[in-house]
Amino acid sequence: MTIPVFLAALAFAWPLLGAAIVMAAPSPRSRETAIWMAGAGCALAVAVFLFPATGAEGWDDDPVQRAGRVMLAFGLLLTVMENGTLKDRLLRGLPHVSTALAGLACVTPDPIVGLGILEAALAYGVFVFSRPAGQARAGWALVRTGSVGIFLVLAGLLLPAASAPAGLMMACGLVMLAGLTPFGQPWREENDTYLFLPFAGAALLLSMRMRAHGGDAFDTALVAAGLASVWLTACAGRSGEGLRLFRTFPSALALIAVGARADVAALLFLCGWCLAGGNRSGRSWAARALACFPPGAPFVGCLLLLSMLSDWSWSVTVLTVAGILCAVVRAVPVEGFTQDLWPEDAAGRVACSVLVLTGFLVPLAMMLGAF
Amino acid sequence: MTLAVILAPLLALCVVARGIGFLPALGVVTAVAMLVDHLAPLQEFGAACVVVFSVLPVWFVSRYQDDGAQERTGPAVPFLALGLMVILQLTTGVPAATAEAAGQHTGAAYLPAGLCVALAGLVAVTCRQAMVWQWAGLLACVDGVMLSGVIENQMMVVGVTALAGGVVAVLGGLCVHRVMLRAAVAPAKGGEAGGPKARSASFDLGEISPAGMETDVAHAAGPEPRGLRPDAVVGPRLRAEVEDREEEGGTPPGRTKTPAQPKPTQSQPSQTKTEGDAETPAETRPEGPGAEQDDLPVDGDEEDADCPVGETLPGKAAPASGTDAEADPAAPSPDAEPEHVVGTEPETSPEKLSPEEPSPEESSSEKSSAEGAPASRRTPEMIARDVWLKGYLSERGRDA
Repeated sequence: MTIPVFLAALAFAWPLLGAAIVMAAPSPRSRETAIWMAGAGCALAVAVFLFPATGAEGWDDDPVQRAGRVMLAFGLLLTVMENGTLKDRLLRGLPHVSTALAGLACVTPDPIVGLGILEAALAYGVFVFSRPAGQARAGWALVRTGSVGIFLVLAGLLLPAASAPAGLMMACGLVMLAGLTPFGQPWREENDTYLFLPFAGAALLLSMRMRAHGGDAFDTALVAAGLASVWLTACAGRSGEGLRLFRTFPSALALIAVGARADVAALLFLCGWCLAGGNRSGRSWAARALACFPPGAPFVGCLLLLSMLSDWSWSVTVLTVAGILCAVVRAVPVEGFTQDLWPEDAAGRVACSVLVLTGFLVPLAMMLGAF
Repeated sequence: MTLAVILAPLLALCVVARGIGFLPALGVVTAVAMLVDHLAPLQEFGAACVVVFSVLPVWFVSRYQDDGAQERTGPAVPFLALGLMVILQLTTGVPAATAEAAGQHTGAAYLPAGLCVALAGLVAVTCRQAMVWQWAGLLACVDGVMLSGVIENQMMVVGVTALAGGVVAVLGGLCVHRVMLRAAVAPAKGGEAGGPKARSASFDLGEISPAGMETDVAHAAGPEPRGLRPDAVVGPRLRAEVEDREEEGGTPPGRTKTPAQPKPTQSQPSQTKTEGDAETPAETRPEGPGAEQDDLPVDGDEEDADCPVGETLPGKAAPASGTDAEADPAAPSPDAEPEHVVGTEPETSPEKLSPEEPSPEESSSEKSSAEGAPASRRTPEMIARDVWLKGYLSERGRDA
């Protein structure tokens, strides 16, 4: 066994190990332990990205997928840094478990197996969420929507490749799995972020691998769904519902990028989703990143997406640009983005740093031929 | 193409149209469709999974009352599923003659029966509002995708579908257990078997047979309740609440009212109180649903909110009514019905409330301690039960 293969295996097992340690640790020290384990997981993911296990059979060699797992690892680090000390052991370990299963789902040779792993992650998360009294209905809603998405993708995969029904079914299922508003999961409350961030990230990464089976209908359906979500966000305004729609704004752009075959742009939007999406979108720095303001990964991803979209379709490009501008204008706070340029909390600083670094490094790696 | 393959989409349409009752038939037909085509380990595994995922949930849900009352969707849903099936057939299916002429694969794959079943299940999940119906839709999806995977010999798809089916079945069952009321289970007189057979064989899961209710009454002086467990307290209350709601809106077919229950409570309130305090703790609970309906949601969506309700045991549910029924053997007159409503539901039907009807003792037995019950009559168990009940009902309210 070579060192890269060992590193890759360790990177997949590390979050599970972290979950076990965090759940076993006493409550006062659990947060510190979780941060250390998640930080080590980030280092391992970066190491796996830099030293891929290219020679090993069965390991995924796609650099975009590897970079996506780095984003998932940083998302986990940010989640545990934002959390306080949790007394519930299962809830404490849930972000680690869901991130581990999401990473495992992305690396499986067959995307169908990845879907099964995602279903397992969903089941575990719902079990943890719905244990308290009064949460059974919410848990059932999560199971229902997630399972519908998975069954749609499976049904699409059973149809002949590159056929229109197959592409449509797969696209609809992935849109539901990615939680794209208004089609996706009824995620709510910050606890859902424990499961939803890696789950939707894995769905985005899986959608890149299903493109071969989906054909043109798959791409078109993804772009249409992303555009619909962007315009819905643009029309929603500054109300609470509009800001809630803004949470999945990078997911919509990422799905458009996947449909336009701009995988690197999708990766940058995935970075924005993992570090600034979900319930973090209410903070000023996160809203600025989500709105594709420079510097940051979503801004660079937006530029890459528009450059690829213009080759794909001019009309879609115009619609996308107009939708993004309208959404950004409506989502900007009244006082503007001038406040809280540099966040005061450590988690926000880490997120901003990673966003800016990714925005610089990914185009650089792209020019160097890494992607 | 076998007859089973053709029947499977039709049964899936029946699931969409009528509910979970057709799911076992769908599962059996799907399993037959798998096994008739080819007998191999993959087919056997798929058939076994399909039967398990189709029969066990129906058996499980038969122990609970129906939640179909909250279903508000129209009759067009099955036609939507049928339309989607036709579209799928037009876009993917190949006429048999054309396919044979072109040398393509022949057999059951011409009709994408599995995907048609899956589509019907997806329609049921999406369009139906009742939780059990959605569960049936998801399980129909499992059947359809499994059938399609077996026909296409996709081992990975079959495995992942089996995993997803297990997840859906287990988590759905847990949710059913938490949000739905248990059906009345009453041991029959004369050694007749009780248990789940006490309910009707139809799929109106909320049915409480008259025989069962008579048995409840007959067991009035039966065994003591098992204790003041939460389900022992709340189960009978919630069942009484459902029955009273039905009495207000007209009794649906298959449901049975309990005419002997309210009358003695009004006619001999002091006896009820005394016996209840001394003997059976279940009797001392607030009899009518009005006391708890202050906290309970009243619309249909929240009717079956998260409630880990235990089964309604005769020793817990019946003693108050049964004992009083024996004490007052006169048959309840139809005139007594509104009086019962007035007496036992002061909060839910204020327009019917007349101030002279409920006696002070009765109201004190119905209300909690905050409404002026004599402190000397309240045992520590009663106080603990009331505290628990308030907390529990507030939990239910939170589910809204």
